[in-house]
Amino acid sequence: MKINFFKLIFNRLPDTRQILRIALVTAVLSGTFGSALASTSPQGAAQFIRWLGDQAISALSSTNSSLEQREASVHELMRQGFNLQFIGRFVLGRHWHKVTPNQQAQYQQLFASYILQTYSSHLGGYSGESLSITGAKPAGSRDAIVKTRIVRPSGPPLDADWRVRAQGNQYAIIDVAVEGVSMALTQRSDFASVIKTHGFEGLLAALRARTDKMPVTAR
Amino acid sequence: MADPYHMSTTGLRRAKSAVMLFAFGIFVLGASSTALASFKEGWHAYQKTDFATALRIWEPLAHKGDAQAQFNLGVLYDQGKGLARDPAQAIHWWRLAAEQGMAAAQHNLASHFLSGEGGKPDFEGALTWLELAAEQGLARSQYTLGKMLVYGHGTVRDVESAVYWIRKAAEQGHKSAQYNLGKIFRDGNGIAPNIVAAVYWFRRAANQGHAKAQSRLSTRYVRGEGVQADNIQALFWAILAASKGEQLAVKIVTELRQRMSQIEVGLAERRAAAWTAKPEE
Repeated sequence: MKINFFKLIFNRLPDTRQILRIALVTAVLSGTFGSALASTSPQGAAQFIRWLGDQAISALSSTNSSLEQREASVHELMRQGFNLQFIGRFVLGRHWHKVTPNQQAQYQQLFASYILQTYSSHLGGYSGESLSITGAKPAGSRDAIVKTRIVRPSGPPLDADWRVRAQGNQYAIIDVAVEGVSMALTQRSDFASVIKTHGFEGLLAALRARTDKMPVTAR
Repeated sequence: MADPYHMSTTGLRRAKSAVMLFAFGIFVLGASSTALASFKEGWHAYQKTDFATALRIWEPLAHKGDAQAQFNLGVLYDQGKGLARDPAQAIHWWRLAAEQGMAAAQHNLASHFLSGEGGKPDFEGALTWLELAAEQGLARSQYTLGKMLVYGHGTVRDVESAVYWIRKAAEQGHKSAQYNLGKIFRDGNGIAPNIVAAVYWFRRAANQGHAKAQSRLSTRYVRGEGVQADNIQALFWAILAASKGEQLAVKIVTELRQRMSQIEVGLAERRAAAWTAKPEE
């Protein structure tokens, strides 16, 4: 499913996301998202990644809400910056067509929560890190890859490559390779093996369990 | 008659032990309030996304047997916050906290077993911990336990017990449990069918933003089942559910738009635009 940014801004965002809404409108008006092209401009993609990174960092450093709430805002931001429908379908591979539309919908909903959590944890749980863009190049005929280095206080720096595709009047991330390992390909093989042993419902149950854990507790 | 000399010795001894007890009390109190303060410091560091500091504070407390510190340390390991993600360490700490009776740790341990991460799902292992957490009143555990009983995962299928636990979770405001209880009442699964009760639970979940519940509630308004038929209400709920990709709701929206007047459609659309989720939990 393609996400139209204008539709998204005016119809889909809940009212509690006012700040994000304003940020998005500003970004669209200032032309950050470029124009509709069959191929993806590496420079535009790099600008998009920088914008998304800055937005995520500013959402996290707000001090008047709990970390869980701030993380929820970042997830909301990521929902818009990632083409989760595309990634979800890719990860499921040939199994996509073997399940009912109802199961597809359940899967996409669970997959979105799962992937947001997974990306956050692979990228270091955003502990005071900084993201610098180290390069951008075309990939295949349609995409661009934005190379970034994430410097973390909690470990060695990470190299993350973001595969970005321009769709209509906007950019969206369709894969992340952390230290050269594609998340989408890894998940595709992981999911295939879960489906092989436990069926599609087993995969749904596993995704549900992964995303239903209790957060840290205060005393 | 009491011996005054003996009495005074006893008194002295009593006074001595009272002083000792008092001193010990101060020591214990002091120690625990220090632990409390540092636990809180860990919490504040965590809130500031300073996970390295949170880890430094919680780790020694966890080693001393503090269940909440053990639990939080497990979360840091599970989410890879402040250190490399390590599910085995997460389980280690959650198990220690769970064995001390902490419901959240019991739940996360069960979730780990269910997720089948690093192996295959262990339904029996999960069930044991879920039962303990559910008994303690944790809504998420009650709901998951209910679903496992519905499917017979790790146990024999037991719809009656399933309904018991799903209802417990629903009453506490768990939206998926509310939606499921709505379906149970609608279909009469393990319980006498009651469409009015079904509408009640669909509505509670729908108000919290549960897309499927919104879609099912819309259908009840279209058909006038358990509620007075009302196209404006039906369209209003269908618009909300459709915006989250509910296919059935998309169909209802299309059909109702053709049947209803411009004014009615506009009314439903304005209500939908102004709607915000009201979480119960």
